[in-house]
Amino acid sequence: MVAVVLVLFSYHVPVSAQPWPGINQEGTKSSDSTNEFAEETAIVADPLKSFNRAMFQFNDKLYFYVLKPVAKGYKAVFPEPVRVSVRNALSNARMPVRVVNCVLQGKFCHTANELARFAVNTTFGIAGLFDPAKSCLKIEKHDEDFGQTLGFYGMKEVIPITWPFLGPSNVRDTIGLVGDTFTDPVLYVEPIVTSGTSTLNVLNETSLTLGDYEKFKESAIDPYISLREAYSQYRRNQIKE
Amino acid sequence: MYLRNKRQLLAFVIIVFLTFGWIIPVRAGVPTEQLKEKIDAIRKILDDPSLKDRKPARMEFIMNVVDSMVDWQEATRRALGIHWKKRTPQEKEEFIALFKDLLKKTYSDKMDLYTGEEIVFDSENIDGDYAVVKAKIINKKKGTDIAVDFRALKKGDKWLTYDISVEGISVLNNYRVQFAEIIVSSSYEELVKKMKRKQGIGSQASSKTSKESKQ
Repeated sequence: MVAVVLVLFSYHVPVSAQPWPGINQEGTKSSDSTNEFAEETAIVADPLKSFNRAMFQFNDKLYFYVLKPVAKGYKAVFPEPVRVSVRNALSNARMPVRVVNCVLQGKFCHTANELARFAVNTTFGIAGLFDPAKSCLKIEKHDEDFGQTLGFYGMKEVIPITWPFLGPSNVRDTIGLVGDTFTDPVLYVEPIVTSGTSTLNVLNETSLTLGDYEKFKESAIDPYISLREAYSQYRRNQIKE
Repeated sequence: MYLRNKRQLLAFVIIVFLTFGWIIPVRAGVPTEQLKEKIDAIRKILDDPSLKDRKPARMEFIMNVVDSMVDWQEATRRALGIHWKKRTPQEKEEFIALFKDLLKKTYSDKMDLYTGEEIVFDSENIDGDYAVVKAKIINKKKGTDIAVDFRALKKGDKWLTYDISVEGISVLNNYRVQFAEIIVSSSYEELVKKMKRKQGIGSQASSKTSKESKQ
């Protein structure tokens, strides 16, 4: 659904709002149905709304006029298994980001899993093109980043911000994004390789999720609000995990 | 008394384990069973080759199943949140219909994305009349799994779904915030107008997208 955008800009969170109105994670009862919604329906502070909406429009046009046509061409050339392998390899290379943030959050089993995945996928998985760690050994990936680490230690999202090119974010995840540049190996190589890899990543992800953004937009009454909320909830959920 | 020595005790434990140990983990709870039944029915319709080219008919069959598993009033009430109580019975009826149509349209388009993904039920939590059933949709080709939570409410002996979360993103919650912001920044009437406009324009847009996705 929101995958296109979420995958591209997976950074974010609010811990402030009660995540579930009346029904908590475990699906607990709600005492009074009116109360339970009272908090949740409170309007989220979005002081940059007009800027954010303008950026949303910009990204929307960018998707339809640039990203989508290019990704369609790319998709026509490379069959799906190839594109899945590209995704795997790029994700494998980002291991340090995940490991550092697993460590920072004291998630030792996750850290071990990530290191094991890297070892297995880099060797048996041929430079990360395949994911035998998951398919053979059932070791799941743990997507962690600095925005999540900040959220883990209680930092609130402050206010939502929509960035051009990057999409929905907030103050916390923007700081997180900057923090991740220190651990992302892609940023330690030649600038040309960095930008090439980032472009490939965006293109490849878009090609694997073509149509999702359209469907997401169709389902929304107000796509900007819908995306902002989806991002916020998605990040909240990631931090909780 | 009956178990005079350790060996007998051990044998007893093994027998108990073999008898119940197998049964307990295999038996899913009632909400999961009911949900599974409905989802199997939908998958059967989707897999039916004779319906592949008869999309409107296929959609109708699917919607019949969906109607029998979803509590639309509960879903709408929650989506409107505090604004539900302020509505007259007629307005409530109208809004339930609008919301239902919107979700139907949204998900009928998503049906085209189905390529034989598998659904695995992970766990179930029941608290009184509320249940959360956690499942995963597994796409083997892409090597991805998507976490989907179904939230259900017990009505009589039936568990009716009122919300679905995908990767932690609750559909209801998302609509609730959209509805609330539109009502607060303009009015309920404006929201209804927007919903209606969506239905009108939405049908053209959806036929456009389905054409595009075929390319």
